[in-house]
Amino acid sequence: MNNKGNVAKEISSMHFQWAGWLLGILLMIYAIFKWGILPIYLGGETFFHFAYEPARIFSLVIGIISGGTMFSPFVRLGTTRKSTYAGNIIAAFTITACLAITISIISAAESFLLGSGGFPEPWALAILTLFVHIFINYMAGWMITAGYLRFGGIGMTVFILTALAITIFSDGLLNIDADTSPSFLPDTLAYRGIIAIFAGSVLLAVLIWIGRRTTAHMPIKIK
Amino acid sequence: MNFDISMEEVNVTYRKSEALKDIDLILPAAKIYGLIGRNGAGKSTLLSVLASFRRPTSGNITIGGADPYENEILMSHISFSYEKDYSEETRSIRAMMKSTKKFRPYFDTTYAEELVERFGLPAKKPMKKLSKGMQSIATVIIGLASRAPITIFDESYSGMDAPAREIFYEEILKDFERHPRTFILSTHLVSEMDHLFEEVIFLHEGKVILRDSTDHAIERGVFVTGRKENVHQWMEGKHAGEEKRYGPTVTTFALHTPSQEDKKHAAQLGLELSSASLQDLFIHMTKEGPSHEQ
Repeated sequence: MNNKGNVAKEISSMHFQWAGWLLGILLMIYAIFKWGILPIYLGGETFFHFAYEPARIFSLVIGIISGGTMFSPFVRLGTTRKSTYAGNIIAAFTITACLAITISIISAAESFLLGSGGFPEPWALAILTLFVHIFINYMAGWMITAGYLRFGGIGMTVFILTALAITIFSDGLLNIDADTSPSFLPDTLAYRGIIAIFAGSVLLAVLIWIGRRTTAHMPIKIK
Repeated sequence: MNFDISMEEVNVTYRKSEALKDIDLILPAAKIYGLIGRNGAGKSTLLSVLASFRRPTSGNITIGGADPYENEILMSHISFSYEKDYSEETRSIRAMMKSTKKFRPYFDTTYAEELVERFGLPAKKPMKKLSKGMQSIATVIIGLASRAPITIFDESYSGMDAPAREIFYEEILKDFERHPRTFILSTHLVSEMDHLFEEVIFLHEGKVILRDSTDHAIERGVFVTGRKENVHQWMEGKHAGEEKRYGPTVTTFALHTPSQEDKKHAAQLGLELSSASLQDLFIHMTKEGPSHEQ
C-alpha cells in the first residue's frame, strides 16, 4: 500500500475543491471590476498581480486547516507519522504548484487574448517566485496548528511568532516588483530573482524540517 | 505474519501521574480478549500505546517480535476504534468507508454494506447529522469491516442502544469464526459482554491485576451463604467482600477458589457456595481499598 500517495490524494482532493472556489471567485471579481461595468484599479496590471496576494493568504489559511485536520486522522487509519507527513508535503507541493501554474496560465491567456497588461518578466522567475512564496505561507500555516497539537497553547504561541517572522521575511524577499526588492540583493532583476528564490527555498526547507521534527513523535489524541 | 502481542514493563507517565505501571502482558494472536477496568484505570492508554498512538514512557511492546511504533506494515494491521466526535465530519459513512479502504489492506466493502443494512444506518447522510448512537454504529462498522489482524474496540459501542449492541456482539462472534483474528474489547459493561471473551485482563489504577481465561477467572470468586458465625468461620484467612444480611443469614463474596476440602468444610457448616460472575469478580477486585492483585 502506498500510504504516502494515498494521504496525498485524499488531502489534494480537498485542496482542489477549495482552490477551485478561490480561483472562481477571483476570476469573477476580476472580470467584473477589470473588464466589466465597474472598471476600477485592482492593484496590478494583470490577473497574475491581482491573484498574487489572495493566493498567498489562501495558502496560509489552508495550511492552518490542513495542519490541524489532516495529520492525526491518517495516523488513526494506520499510517505512520513519517508517511503521513510525506503525504502532507506532496499535497502541499501539488496545490501550490497547481495554483501558481493556473494563475500564470490565466494571466498569459488574458495577455494573449485581450492584449491587456503584460506578464511579469522574466516570466519563469515570476512563476517560481509565486510558487515558493505560497508554499512558504502554506507551511507556516501548517506549522501553527501542528505546533498547537504537539505542544499545546504555549507551543502554538511560539509557532505563531515564528510563522509570522518567516512570512514577513519571505514577503520582503520574494517580491515580484523589482522596485521594492530588498536593497541588499544585486541590481540585475534576474539575479535578484534567482537569489530570492534560492533563499526562499532554504526557508522552505527549514519549515519542512521543523514540521517533521514537530510531528515525528506526535501523540494522537483519542477523545 | 505473526501477531502475538508482547508487553514488557510498559510504563506511561503523563506529567506527574502514572497512567500505566509495569505492564507485562503476552497476548497470543487470534483470541477475543476483554480488557476490563473502571473509569481512569488506564485502558485507553494501554490501547493507545498498542496502536502506536503514543510511545510508552518506558518498556517494550512487540507484535510478532517487531516494534509496531512507526512500523508501516504493522500499524496498518492494527485497527483502533473508539468513541469519536463527528460533529465536524461532513462525509457520509459510505464516503468514510471508501477512504478507509485505501489504508486498510483487508477492508471488506461488501461486508461493510451488509452491516450498514443490518444496523439500519442511513448511508448517505453526513456523519455530523447522525445521532450519537448512529455515529457509534458507524465507528464499529468501519472497525469490523477493516478486518485488521488486531482489532481493538475501546468502548466505541457504549453510545449504542441495547438492540444495536446485541447485533454488534453477534457480528463479532460471527466474523471471528469466519476470519479469526485478535479482538481486544475494552469495556465496563462486563455482564453484557462476558460471553464474548476467551480471556480477560483486569486493569486497575494502571496495573494488570488479573489476566486469565474467562472460565478460570470466574472460578476465582464465590458467594458464601449461611449463618453468620459459620460464614465467618469458613471465611477465615480468605479475602472477604461486602457482607449482605438477610435476617439470620448472610451472604459474602470470597475472592478465593474453593478446593474440594473447602467445599466439604462448607457442607459441614451448612453453607451454600454459589459461583460468581465476571462482573462480581471485577467489582470486588476493583473496589476502593487495597488492590487484590492476583
